[in-house]
Amino acid sequence: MTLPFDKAQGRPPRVPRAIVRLFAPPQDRAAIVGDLDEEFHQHRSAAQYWRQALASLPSVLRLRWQRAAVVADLSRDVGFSLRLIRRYPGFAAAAIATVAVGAGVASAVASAVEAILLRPLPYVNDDRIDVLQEWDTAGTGSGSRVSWADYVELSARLRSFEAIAVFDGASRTLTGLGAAERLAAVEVTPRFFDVLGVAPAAGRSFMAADAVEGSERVVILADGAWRRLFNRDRSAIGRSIVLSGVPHTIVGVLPRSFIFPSRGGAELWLPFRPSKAHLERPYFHSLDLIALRRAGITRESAAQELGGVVAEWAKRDPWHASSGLRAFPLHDDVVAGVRPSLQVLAGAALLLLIAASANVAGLILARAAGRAREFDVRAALGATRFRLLRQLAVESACLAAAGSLCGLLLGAWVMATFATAVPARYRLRLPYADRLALSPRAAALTIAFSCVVVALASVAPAWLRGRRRSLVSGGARTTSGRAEMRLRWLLVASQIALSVVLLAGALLITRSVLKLGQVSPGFDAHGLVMARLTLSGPRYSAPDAVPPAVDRLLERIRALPGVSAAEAIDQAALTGSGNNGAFAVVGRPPAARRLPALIRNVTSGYFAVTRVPLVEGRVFSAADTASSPKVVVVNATLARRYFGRSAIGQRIVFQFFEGQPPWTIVGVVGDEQFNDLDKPVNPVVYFPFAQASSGSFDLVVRTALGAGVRDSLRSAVASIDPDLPVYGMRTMDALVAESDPLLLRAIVMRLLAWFALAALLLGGVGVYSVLAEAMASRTREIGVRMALGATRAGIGRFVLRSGFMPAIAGLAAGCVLTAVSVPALRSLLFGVSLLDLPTLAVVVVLLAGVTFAACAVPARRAMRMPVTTALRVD
Amino acid sequence: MGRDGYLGEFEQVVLLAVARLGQDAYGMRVRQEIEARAGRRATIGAVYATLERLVTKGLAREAEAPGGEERSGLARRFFTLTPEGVAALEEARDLQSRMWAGLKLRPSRRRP
Repeated sequence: MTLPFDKAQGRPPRVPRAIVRLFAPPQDRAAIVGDLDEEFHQHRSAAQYWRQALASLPSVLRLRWQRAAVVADLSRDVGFSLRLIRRYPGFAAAAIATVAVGAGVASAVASAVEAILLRPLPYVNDDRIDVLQEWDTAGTGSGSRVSWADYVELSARLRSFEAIAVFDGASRTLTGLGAAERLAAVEVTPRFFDVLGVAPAAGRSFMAADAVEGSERVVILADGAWRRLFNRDRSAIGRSIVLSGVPHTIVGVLPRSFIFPSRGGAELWLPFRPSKAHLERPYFHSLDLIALRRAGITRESAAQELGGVVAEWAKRDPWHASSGLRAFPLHDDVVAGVRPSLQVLAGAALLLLIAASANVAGLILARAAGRAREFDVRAALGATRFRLLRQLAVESACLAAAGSLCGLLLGAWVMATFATAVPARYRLRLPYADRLALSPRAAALTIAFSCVVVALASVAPAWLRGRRRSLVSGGARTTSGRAEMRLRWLLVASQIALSVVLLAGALLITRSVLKLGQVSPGFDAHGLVMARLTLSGPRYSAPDAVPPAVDRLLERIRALPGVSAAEAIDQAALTGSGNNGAFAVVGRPPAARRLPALIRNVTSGYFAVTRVPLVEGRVFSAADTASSPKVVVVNATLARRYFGRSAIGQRIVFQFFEGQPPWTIVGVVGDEQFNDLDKPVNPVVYFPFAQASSGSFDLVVRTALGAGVRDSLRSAVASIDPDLPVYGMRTMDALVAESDPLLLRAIVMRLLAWFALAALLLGGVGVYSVLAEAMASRTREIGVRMALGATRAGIGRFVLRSGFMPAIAGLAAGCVLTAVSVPALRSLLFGVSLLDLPTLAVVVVLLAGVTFAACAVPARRAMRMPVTTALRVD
Repeated sequence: MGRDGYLGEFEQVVLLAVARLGQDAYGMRVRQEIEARAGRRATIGAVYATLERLVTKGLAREAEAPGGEERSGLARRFFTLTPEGVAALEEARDLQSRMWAGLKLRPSRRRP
């Protein structure tokens, strides 16, 4: 601000002026400083200005305090509220605990949902990164990967995308740095990190030259591997490490914050070099694609361009007739598996928050009814309505603050427990699941909700009473008004209704888990152990080197004590759909649709060791060799779906075999689940290992030792080749129990059960507190009834009826609410109908029992009260 | 008169200064009036704190008017007495008169 005094005249000294401005209350600032300036203008004495300013400070501060007298009043209200909390510890504890449970649970679940489902992935252009997927428009609609040929064509043609990159899961055996170990790896095309917008923390990213056959092999380390193997030593860059027998130069290290949940836990990043199969087999769909949309291009317009490409494919190639191409956000792809579970949990937490809020509102209303006389007296003594409302608001704020604080602590604890309970593989596969913590935003939102409810419940009765102006009523006991009582019963009924929904949800999912536990995976998992093995390195590079090596390994393992049988399959049951392809049936018209099936290569004793039953024909034998006629075995689903009658003797052709030889179906076996247990079984074609081998496979070992076979299995493999690490060893029983559909549902089931229990307790407390208060206020009425001849049993029935009426209304509303909300559970239910009457019946009986227990105490009290006592109550 | 009507000594001095200044009673003038007439130092802060208290008690009322160049354009806050303020001053004066009436002050002798 410029002052109107020129230099010659002098200005008021700045420092004291600023001091007064700083400490004066805003509304008095202009008057005081103006006076000081004006006096300076009269006397031109800076010294006097200084004196006045400094001597005024204590008074100015006092003035400020006077101005803040409202604050002083508030602090008095807070003190009064705290004394009240101390005086009624039971009420305060119940209200604070209820707010804490609602806000704590809701903020924890909301934090998890925010971190996993809502927070963008940590990439510069997260909103422009899409997954490109090919899918079968005529089949189940499920997506599949793309082939190398597709990738090459798409990267050359598509204009909607700035960059397209392939990523493909892999693993490598690291030797030369201590014991040989198998490390998870991802092979990516050079522009992969450009799509994500991620630069290495040290060293360089991949260049086009890195992927050229014959160039130096390079690797980029994930931060974890850099720390574990090199103790974060920068000189590791430029060093050479041996991966699967091939030296690789470390050229970079990824930032510590880097995550890629689609391949979580990868320690090595390698340039993708297409194999012979990738280059020669246009239908070898094994690659995942991500792409960076150009700025300004929407996903819809990109989808149009993809549609154009697909239309051209269909014209050009009958094998592509039913193919589609789609682009969807990378984030959606990452969280697709857990989204329904998290949504259900979020919904349940919201219901619990509402139930808790209804409960705390009921408690506060009951409390207010008991204090009606206090407020009437205070009003009669001259307290204004505003003053009373403010007192109540402060009281509720104290309760809400204490409840929220406890809720925050509870939420943080729930979060920490949840974070450690999340299985390691989810921590790696889900964004931010390894660093779950209470989110300030989520916590603020749920706490604000609780506080608003508490404040409304606290202030509403006084507001209503103030409007009715019902003051002291001749000293008689003030009973709560009819409207208030109705409101409290409504709150109780709504709590019961919400408990019905939560209980029904928990029970439905529990039944689904039980049903899933009964689903047979199609093989005898008990006593089976699987372990993964990859024959890599120059010893196994010749195509015919693998089958004899596998035979030698299996012979050695079968000889181990405690092992009764050992076989191999390229990808074991329950570990994902894996390799798949489409075939044509010899003799059907050429235009007929190509039939999709999963493809598995198995050794001859596989069906015996897994006890997958033979339905028809024969299984493989030692006579099925590389030179014998080409044969396959199919599963019952394939035979039924594609042939309807016996499939034995039918000949099928796969596009991807060189020369497209026909394969004769010689056997049909029982359905074995390769996918998740809750999915329908896919058609499967089994090839004999001798005729279609795979260098990477799962050992399937039947043993009485369970996981105890681990060490002897390792040493048996090491005795044949010390550079072959055995990894991913698990019992098949554990594989079934920890499979995604069971585990996810089990987590949801446990959490829902806790929520439902909390809701049940809250419902019980709600019924009890309202009924007890209602009966206390009607003691005299009960006395009159007894005096007029009502029996004690009749009085008991009267009290029970009073408590049960709203409970019945709540149960009915809850059943309707359940019917409406259960479809949200659909994706988690298995083998249970949406409106499962037995479940609902159990819920109703359980809640009726809780209501009865809650009513019993007030009913007993009423029945045992002497008539004279009841009549004397004022 | 209740507790709120009680006038402290400095409050009386300030109210009297406001009364004496009539239409010209704003912070600086009140302070100068007190210094000139009562011969005692007063700070502008103390004057405003007291005036604010008197306004809260309903003994004075305030009004703002725009300030001139000599006070950097900052507003002046003028104070006038309310009827309650007038009554409070009169009551204070009467109380003093009653207490003084017929009183001759003599130093008391020390008891042996």
